[in-house]
Amino acid sequence: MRKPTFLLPTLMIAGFFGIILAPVPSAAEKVMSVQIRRADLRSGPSYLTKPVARAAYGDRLFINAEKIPWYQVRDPKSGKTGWLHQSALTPKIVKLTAGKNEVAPAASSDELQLAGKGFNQEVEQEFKKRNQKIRFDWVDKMSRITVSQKRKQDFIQTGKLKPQEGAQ
Amino acid sequence: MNGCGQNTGRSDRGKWRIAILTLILAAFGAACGKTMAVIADAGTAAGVINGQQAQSIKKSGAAIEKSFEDITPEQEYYIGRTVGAVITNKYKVYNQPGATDYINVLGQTLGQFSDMPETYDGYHFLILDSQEVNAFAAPGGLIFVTRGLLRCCKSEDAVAAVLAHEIGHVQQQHGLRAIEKSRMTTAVTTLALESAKSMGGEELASLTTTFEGSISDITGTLINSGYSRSFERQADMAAVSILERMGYSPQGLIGMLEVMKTQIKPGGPDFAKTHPSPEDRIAEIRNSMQPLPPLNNNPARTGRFRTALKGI
Repeated sequence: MRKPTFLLPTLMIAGFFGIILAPVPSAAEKVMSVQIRRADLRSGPSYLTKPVARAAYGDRLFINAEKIPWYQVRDPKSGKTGWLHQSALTPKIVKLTAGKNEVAPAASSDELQLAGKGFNQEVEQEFKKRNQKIRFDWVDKMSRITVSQKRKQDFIQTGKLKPQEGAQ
Repeated sequence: MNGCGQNTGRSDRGKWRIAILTLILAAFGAACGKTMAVIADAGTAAGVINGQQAQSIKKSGAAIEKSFEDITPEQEYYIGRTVGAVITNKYKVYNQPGATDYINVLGQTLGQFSDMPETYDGYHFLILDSQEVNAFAAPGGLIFVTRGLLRCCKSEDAVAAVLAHEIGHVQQQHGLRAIEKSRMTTAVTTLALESAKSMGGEELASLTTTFEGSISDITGTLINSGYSRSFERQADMAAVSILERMGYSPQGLIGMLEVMKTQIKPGGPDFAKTHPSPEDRIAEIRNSMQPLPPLNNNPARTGRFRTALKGI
């Protein structure tokens, strides 16, 4: 008699928590966001390994494993897996666009950061309008200078440099 | 027994109902407590509260303690771009592709050995055509070094030390810390509002004024007053770590400071004004590590250093 009486509420509670907790990733499924413009996922926890996929600013990635300062991440969109340095990731949710009439959850900056919020391209444009003498040409030019991984490795090699094991 | 049992059953059911109800209420309570803004969101969407009410909920929610850490890497990037524009407006750029390429290959490789190899848009380097002995790191990774300072560098290891020191300032976000506290409070309150895109002209104007103020706080510190002694020490320590990881001897930093001792004029407008004395920095670096590995200027490095910076 007592057993089924006990069982039913237990199942109800279990079901209730199941429904409530279902959308929340479990501790094993840690999720982080890409906080840089472009992130190359690599085949191993090192810049010496090959890039295998690319993630963009705001992408939410599952953490499969960690070897600090590197995380092995899985992109749920492509299903691809690769390694990213921790400086490319934030535990916060990066919300890419706040809709025009949408109210931004400003109080939760510990959990959320809004892309394009605050000091953004529009503010830069406004600054340029106000300060027309200040030219951005050189900043734009220098921002385009990107050195490939191969050149970096060649530079180390031809300079007879011996980096510390695992430092790159 | 049966009657007693039934009674107990009814009583149990009552207790369970209360327990389940309590759990439901607790769950709702937790969800509600998570963020007032979610309520504001949902309330607005459902038409329960109007936008103005949502705004005030939002503002009170935003009145939590803020610091420069709330500045996102993307915002740091925009701050850094404008700081860079102000610097390249004040100083002429040394436009020599070979030299620019060399410090970018060296600098971007060093960046990969720092604690912050990834910034929003990466590390980029430029030489300023000035006799001043100086270097500037804008937030986010735009780094500027003068010809005057490069002249103090007698080897690639010394150039690496200069760039690694500036990378140290970037990784420790010293530029952002130069923004005045009061301005930061204003900035963060404004930043806590929704996207500037949905702002009216007045709000955008106010945000831009705060932005301008933040830029002048940073450029004022970089160009005129300099960082605190402790920030300089932190950047030196970061440089030592980056240099060692990549295989350079931190002696390069000491060598560069030794040359600088003889080059800078006390009370001058550049490094002398914005940095602790080279003697003090050398002493602190020496104290931090025992023993210091010897400087090993490989001929391969000397060759490319001389070729790339021959016009300096």
